[in-house]
Amino acid sequence: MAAKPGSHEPSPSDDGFDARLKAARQRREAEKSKWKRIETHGPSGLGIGMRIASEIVAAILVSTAIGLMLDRFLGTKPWMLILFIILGSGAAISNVIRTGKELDRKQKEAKARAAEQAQSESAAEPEGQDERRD
Amino acid sequence: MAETANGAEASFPVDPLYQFVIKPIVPIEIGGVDMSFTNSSLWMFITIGVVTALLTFATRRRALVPGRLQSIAEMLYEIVANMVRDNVGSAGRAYFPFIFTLFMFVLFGNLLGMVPSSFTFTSHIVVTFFMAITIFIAVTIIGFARHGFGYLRLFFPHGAPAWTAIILVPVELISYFSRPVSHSMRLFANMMAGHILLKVFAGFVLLLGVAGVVPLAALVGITALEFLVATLQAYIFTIFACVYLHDALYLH
Repeated sequence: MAAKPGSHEPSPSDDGFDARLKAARQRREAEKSKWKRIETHGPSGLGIGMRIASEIVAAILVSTAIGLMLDRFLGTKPWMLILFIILGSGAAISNVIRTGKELDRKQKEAKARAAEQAQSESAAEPEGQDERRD
Repeated sequence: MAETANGAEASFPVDPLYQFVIKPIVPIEIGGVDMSFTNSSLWMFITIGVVTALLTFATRRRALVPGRLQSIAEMLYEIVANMVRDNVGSAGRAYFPFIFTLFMFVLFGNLLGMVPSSFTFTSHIVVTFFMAITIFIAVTIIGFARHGFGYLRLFFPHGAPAWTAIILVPVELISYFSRPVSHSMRLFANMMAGHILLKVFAGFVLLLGVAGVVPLAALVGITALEFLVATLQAYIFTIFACVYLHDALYLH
């Protein structure tokens, strides 16, 4: 970004100020996007993994509890437990799919926002886009 | 350092679970129910006090150009305001006070738990589950109040053939009821695991003598990580409350 070969020469009065301003702005954007990433889905893959694991565990825990309680009230040991563990596994999988879809959507939104920002930036300074392409 | 709870584990200098022991400060018993004022309640009161003091002092001057304290308060306000706007939408503005209170309570509970020899009430599943179930019940009531029985559409995916209801409705119901469990478990497990890890490493430092500088160095890193986890988990806990609220207001 600092060196622009072939395109317009910075006038001597610029004194590299534009370049420094641009670098500082980029640094700030990088910082911001880092925060955006943390906001959207945790700091890392570990966060996503924890989230999905807790969805699975919670669904199976709840369905097991419901199955055990129904068994006690209806006296149908162990059939309700078996049925509800199967249903709970289904719920766990649907939870995971929903979480995955949501994360996907958020990622796409973030990407679209980033692309939009890049476009508006390059519209302001056409020479910026050429550099980004290679 | 905490003394060991029983003699059998005396070989390890620190009992990592001692920090979670509930100790009654003022024993109160009403109708056979133990309602003592415990160290957990004490730290909840301290948390509320710190939050109230911070926000009161920060906004007392109401300067146009904020000072340090006022910028902290404004930043916290903006974080929650953005969270509500992005995750709940414009209809969520009415619920901002509750979301903000929830965020501040969990955040400062987590952070005050990092003060040595304090008590982290968010590391008890009773506390987090009670908060989660309160949100769950409130969100369910809001959903029914807004949509009437149309809220039950949440339990049947749009466009699926009618005969699949036999399987899908129980699955969706279980998935719905598992929300408070996963919601509370995430905060509780993160806080508890982190605090146990800290105490276990502290025990290693004492055991290893001179070589204890190695776990001590790790301990410094883990402490920093714990601060990150404390803030992040408060944020995540609040964001999930927002997501559930969004579901109740707009039915996906």
